[in-house]
Amino acid sequence: MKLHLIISLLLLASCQNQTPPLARNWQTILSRDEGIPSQRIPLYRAKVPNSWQRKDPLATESLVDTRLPICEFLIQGGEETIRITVHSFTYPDQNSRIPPSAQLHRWQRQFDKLDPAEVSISPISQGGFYGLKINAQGFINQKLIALKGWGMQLASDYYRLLSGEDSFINRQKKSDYTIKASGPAALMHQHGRDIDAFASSFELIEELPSPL
Amino acid sequence: MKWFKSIYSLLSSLSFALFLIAAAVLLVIAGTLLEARTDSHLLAAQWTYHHPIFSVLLGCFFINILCSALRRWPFKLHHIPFLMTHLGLLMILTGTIWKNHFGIQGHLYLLEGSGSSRLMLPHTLALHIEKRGIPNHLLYDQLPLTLGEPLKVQSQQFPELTIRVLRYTPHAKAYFESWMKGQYGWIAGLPPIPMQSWSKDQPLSIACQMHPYPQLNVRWDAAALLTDDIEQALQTAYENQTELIVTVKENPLVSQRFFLNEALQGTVPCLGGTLKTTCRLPCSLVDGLVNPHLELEWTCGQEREYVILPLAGTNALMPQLQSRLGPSKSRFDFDLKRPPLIVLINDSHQECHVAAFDPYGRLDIQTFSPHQWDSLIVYDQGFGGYAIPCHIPFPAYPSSRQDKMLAEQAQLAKQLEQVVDQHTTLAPPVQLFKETCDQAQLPFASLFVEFLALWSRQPHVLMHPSSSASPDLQTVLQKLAWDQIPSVKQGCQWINLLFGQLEDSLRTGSSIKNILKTHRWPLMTHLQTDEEDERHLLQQLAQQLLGLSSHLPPVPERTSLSSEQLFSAYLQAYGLDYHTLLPEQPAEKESFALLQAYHAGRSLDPSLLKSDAIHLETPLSYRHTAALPPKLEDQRPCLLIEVKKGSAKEMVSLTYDPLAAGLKWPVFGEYLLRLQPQWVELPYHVRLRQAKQLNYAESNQPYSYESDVWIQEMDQSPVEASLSMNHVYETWDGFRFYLAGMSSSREGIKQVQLVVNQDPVKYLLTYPGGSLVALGAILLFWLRPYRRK
Repeated sequence: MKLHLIISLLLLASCQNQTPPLARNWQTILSRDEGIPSQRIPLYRAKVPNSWQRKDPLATESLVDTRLPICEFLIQGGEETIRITVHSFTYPDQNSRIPPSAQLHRWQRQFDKLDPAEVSISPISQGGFYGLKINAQGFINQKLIALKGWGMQLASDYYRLLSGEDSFINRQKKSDYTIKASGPAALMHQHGRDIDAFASSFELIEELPSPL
Repeated sequence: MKWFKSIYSLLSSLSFALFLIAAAVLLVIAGTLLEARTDSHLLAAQWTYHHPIFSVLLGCFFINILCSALRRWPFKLHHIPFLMTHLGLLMILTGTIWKNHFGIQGHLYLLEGSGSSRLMLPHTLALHIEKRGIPNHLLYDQLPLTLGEPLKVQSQQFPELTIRVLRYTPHAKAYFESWMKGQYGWIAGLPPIPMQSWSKDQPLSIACQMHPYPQLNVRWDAAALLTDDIEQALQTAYENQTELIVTVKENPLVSQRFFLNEALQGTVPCLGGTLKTTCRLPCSLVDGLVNPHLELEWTCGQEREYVILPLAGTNALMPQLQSRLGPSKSRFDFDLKRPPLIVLINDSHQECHVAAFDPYGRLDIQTFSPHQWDSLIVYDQGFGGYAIPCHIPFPAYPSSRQDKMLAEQAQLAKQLEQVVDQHTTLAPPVQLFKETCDQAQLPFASLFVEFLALWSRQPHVLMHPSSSASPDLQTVLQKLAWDQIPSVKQGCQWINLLFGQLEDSLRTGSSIKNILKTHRWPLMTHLQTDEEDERHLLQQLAQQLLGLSSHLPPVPERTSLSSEQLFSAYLQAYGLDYHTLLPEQPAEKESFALLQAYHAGRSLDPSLLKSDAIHLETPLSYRHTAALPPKLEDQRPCLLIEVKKGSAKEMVSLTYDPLAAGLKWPVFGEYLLRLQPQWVELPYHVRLRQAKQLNYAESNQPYSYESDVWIQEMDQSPVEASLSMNHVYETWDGFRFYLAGMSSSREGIKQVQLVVNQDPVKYLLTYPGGSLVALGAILLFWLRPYRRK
């Protein structure tokens, strides 16, 4: 009996320890502005690993141009870097919104060579937003690059409720958002779970009004 | 005193205990049988656990245990295990009774992204009232209702309202009424349209006229029908007053007109031949209108043309020749003309269909279910009521086949101009044309598009001289410098000769592959002959000839080919024609963006341009019909309620909304009502971040459901928690949150149902009581009778 106990303890002790998860903390991300940079307000939050480098746009630079990201993160891996960009898109009305599939399609066209077997697209919903998530791997400038992307839109019920009052914050809350992470395939594979966790934690700071 | 002792003795006796146990067993058996028979746990519980008899039974158990313990007085040391077990049992019973009366158990419904602290108490009834407050927040009240009692309730929050329940129905079904209410069709802004009960072979009668575009004097007819034969009704409505106009492309002055219902009778003489017309409007309950079209078969001797004229979709009104030569190579244009019409059709399942026919023959149909809607208009957050919209994508500006073609050509010309501005390298034939235009100082893009459009409309593979060409185009074509590219010219000549022979055979139904094999084409092995689209084969042939042009002999001297023929052959070799250069259109729905841009460029009346669709609305109402009550859990009681405010009175009927997620109905334009479960406010606010289904690897089989939430006690920081099937979150004060269910909305947003319960005395009475019982039982068996004295 005692021998069994000792052997069990030894076996447990010899188990390989799991890699501890990266330390993460909640960070806020500002919204876009409508021409005046000082308009920007804390709109989103996400759990970001401490090791990621954050790059914010200049406080004096207007972010009306949706080609500019509202926030950027860099993951360094030796001489290689993964770039994670967050964009938001405001539209005058619900029918003008570009579907998430169009965003994903645009990202796929950025590859020089992309095997459809290396592309995986799945629906996803979180925080009142729904959309599509893409994992892809292909060649850009003859380098094997991996991509993780999320194209998200606010659900119609929430859009309707926020449209009841036309204010800057409501317009920003109604924005679609995208998260795109791309970098060398091996490095992306190494940090894939952290990137997924970051995107999964991404949400509006303020709660959405319940349609129920 | 004697009687007191007798009663005391009875209450503390073993026989009484056995009697109580037997009674409890019988009650449980009865409950089990009742549930098995009725399949209703709620009904069984009502007659057992929630019945007053069960509470009396629990009370009797309490008395029996207490009295049997007190009988041992005065207590000695060896009574301790006995007293421990009895005390423990008393604590458990007290905890149970306390929890039944003061505990909380309910459901919390959350949608991803939002939160709530409102706990719904299942199987209870309350009238939920809302009023808009100041500043723009909602004031609430709920009036718990117990059916069976005379009901006149007063709201404390809204004392100005008096509510009386006039009628109660144990179970009712709710049907939403949209476009048809009773015997009339309803379109907001119009008087009611009388509904016509319609059957096959009956004519369609127009009920009224309407102006579907605001501020435009454009009239449409309207009708309302009751019929189950939707497809036939659509066919009759469509054939009625629709004209088919057949025009010879090469001589637009030559045309013939038919009424569609006459043309559909059989074969009619048409422009030197005969025309057979078939109208196909397949309509399914699931998919709606699927590929509506006309089939037009023109025959003249050996010649035959079979054309499909789509009536909806991307290619609406554009005749598609079923020919190897290409979709637009028919020698005829087919156009439709009719008075525009909107028809509301109701069937016996209360499904409503809105069908629209535009002046050019397009067709659109949308179906509205009585049980749910795809889109809803909410006026003033519900205080103004609700409406169902119908968006008919027919613009007010001209959108005939010819307008579409002109819009396409304008867009193509614009794109070509952009390409030229960007100094992109052009294909050699295009470059040749451009250089000629530049030398002649004529606009390249518009003339090139004109050439392509004229070529596409000719019933020939390569272009023949056309009298429709503008003088500028003719000038450019004459000035093309073929002498500077003699080998190309030779190649183009041979292409023309070959294609001329091929075209004759293609018209009689032969395939290019067979023709080439029969004539032993020397370069067969270099052709991709497995393709169905023979236009691609023709392109390959042209490429081969152009590539070998310098090795080919000169063409026979009598050969005389126009510049149009040569240039079209040159383009053919590079795979360039009107259809390959056209901008890509959406796959299914017709897009009017090009048309709108085209008309905007022609300075059309702005009010016409703005009217790019018809937007109809109908007020949403509902109807309740009593139904046979199903099992208790599934019953939806319905109440007819009178609401009085001062001297004003309104009556509204409401069915029970068990999830409290449905619409709230307005009264007096100031209040919203809903019949739903009672709710209590929790001291915790729960926000649902994400709900997910976790599947087994490489499979859609779920192995777990999880929801990530924020749980916040009032004035404290929120705490992250993850609830799953086997993982419950418990707060310090005994509130337990369980994940009970998960569902998805149409958009994929998840909704979860959390079960929340709180036993206020769990740690004070129930668990300590259980521990005492366990300890007492152990001591009982340890000390006696196993210990030897």
